Amino acid sequence: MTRRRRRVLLAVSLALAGLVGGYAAVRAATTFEVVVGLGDHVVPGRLAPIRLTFTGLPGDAARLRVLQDVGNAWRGETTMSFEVPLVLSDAGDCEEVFPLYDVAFPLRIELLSANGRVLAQKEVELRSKKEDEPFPVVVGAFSTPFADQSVLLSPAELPRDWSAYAAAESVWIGRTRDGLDADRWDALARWVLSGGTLVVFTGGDFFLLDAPRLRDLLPIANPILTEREDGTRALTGDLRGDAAVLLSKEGVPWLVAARYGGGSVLFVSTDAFSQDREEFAEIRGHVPPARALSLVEATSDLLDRQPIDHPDAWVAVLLVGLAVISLSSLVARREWRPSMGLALLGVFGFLVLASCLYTDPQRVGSDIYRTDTRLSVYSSLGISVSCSALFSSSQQPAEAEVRLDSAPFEPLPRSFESGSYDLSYSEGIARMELAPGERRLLATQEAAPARLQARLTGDEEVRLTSRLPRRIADALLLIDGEAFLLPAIEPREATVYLGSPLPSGMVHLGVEGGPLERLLAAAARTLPLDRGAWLVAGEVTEMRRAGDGARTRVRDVSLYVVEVERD
Amino acid sequence: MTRSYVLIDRESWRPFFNLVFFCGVALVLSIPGARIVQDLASTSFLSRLPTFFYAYALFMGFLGLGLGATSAEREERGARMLFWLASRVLLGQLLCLPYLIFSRALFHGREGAFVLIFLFATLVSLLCGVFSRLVEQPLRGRSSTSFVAKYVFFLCYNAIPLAGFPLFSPLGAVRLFLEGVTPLHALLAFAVPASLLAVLSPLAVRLGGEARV
Repeated sequence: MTRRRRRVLLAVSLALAGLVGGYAAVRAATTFEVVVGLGDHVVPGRLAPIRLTFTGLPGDAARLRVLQDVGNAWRGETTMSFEVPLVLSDAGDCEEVFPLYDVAFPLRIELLSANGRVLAQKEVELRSKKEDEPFPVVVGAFSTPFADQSVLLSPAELPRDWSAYAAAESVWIGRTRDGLDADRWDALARWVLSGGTLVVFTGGDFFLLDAPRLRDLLPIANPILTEREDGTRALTGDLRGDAAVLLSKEGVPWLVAARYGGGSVLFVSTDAFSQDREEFAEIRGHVPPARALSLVEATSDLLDRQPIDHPDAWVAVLLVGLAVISLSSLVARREWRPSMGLALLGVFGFLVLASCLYTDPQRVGSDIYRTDTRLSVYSSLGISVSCSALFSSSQQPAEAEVRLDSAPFEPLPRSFESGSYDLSYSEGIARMELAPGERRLLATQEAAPARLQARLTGDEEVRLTSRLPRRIADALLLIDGEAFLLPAIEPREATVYLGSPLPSGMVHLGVEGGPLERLLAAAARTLPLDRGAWLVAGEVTEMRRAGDGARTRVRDVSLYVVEVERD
Repeated sequence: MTRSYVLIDRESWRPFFNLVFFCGVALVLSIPGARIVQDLASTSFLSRLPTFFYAYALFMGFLGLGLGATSAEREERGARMLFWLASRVLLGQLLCLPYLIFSRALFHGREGAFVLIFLFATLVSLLCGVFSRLVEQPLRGRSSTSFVAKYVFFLCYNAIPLAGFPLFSPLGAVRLFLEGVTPLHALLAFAVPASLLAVLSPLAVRLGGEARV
């Protein structure tokens, strides 16, 4: 080998080694920091945000997988796996919301490439982060720590997804240097819409916080800053329709509450540094805890009432009766003749044909019965709460798949057989195996654009704007507890004239006592439908799906609840 | 007395009647009494079991035992005996066919298992027929002994393997067919009645021939 060749070979080898070394270095440098829950506090059995901040994120990083082991030797053990696409925020971090069930085992978080290779992983210990009950979340600076169990967050630590606030009892916004960004205001507004409680300290700090969504939330319109006799600056304005002054100081409203969807917004007219400990305690006495909008109970109840497919027992009795009578009458008292054989062939051939025709898909038993419910609540923003309940009537384990827009939360029983509650969520599909007679419930929460809007344009007319993809057959308008029957809502703008209110006892959405009414009752536990103006509309669809060997009968119940604007 | 070979007549119809009647009752019992999921979750023990298929496998066996006895009584012999035995078993299958079609609605998506069970029940029925013919031949005139012998054999054949090798019991095989089996397991399930039939059929043909002499 010549010297020149040796040099070339050496150079190529060094280049390759450099490439491999560089690649390995990049791989080795891929790390991430994790914050689980609200300020590293979690309440087991609720959704919690997980925020990851990456160092040396490789270009082929595509997905995030979170694995949780749940249970123990006595209760049974199971594994939940959630896999979602890696979506980075403008700040370069990644925020996702997952259910947290158990703090006994560490949470395993894996960064995956598109082909499923693990690029980096981390285990997060949860025991030290555990809280037994929802807690107040305090954002920004306050003059005094006013609640022992509260969790302090900076505005940048606030989640951008409304479902991440599931562990918060209330959110208090104090003094912030730069206010909150639009995404966080939207998340807070959606959380309040679903039943959350927001307390906002304003006064001289209002213009630091000011944002279009905040103005939408506040119980006052046209805010102006005034100075009280003691020199404290207070924010005043025109009280909105349902706003209530809870406390006043020197004749000026100090604490004002108003409803926004199912939740409450409490407006403190002075800033967070103008209050002493007693005043904070006084305010706390008026802050209602957040209420979670949940369809789990209603969906389980609706699944219980879902009709099942099977052939009619009386038809079977008729078939058996015909077979027995035919056989007896043709054969019992006769000698063999070829005509007897032909008659038997004819009669039983007819019975075979009749059985064939009778057992059409409508009467074929399903392996899985599933009830999907979706409650969409629209105000200036929209949220959607969904639940899928499944029951296996199969005699053998059945594979089930449910398409969901986010990682589902599942209420787990006190005990389960090992592995029986395994769940895998990936590419928007939750996959599980149902044992014979087993029931599962999956709940999700998402943000949703307000596709249905209603505005009272006079005493007797309402303007409806529907951007829903289809016609909604059943609709009611509720105004301060009175119900008006509406025609079907078409996917366009329409003005509807209201007739006389329905007599009480005649107010039904869809079939009397049917799925829509049951879902509406569940919504009414959080949303004050007896106060203010609301449009409620819904539809029920039934379908049968066959795939992967399991035949599934699905009942889909969708309810839309829209807060009606008034001119 | 030697009679002409017939498929079914007033003297040989009872095993067919038992098959049609009891399988029919099992079919009716298999239908869930529930109308909504809640009822399905709490009741209907029978609807969770493949009651109809258990009854079908069992009564096809009983049909074979009855047909074997009839064949012996009529002194049928030789290869023709086997042919007519098989024809009568197939007639029994025809009589059960409306039920099998109806049960599709109860066991959706397991049509493959239906075919396996149909073939397996035919094989078991034929085996029972040949066995019954063999038992009845030497024990003619002692009907209670032969009756007890063949029914005890059949019940043991159904029950004993369930304790350790359910695949070798007709009832266990039916359950496994419905739950889904590997081709090897299916072959094993068929192997037992098929090999027994292969051994017993020549014996039955020969024994019938000697009896004539």
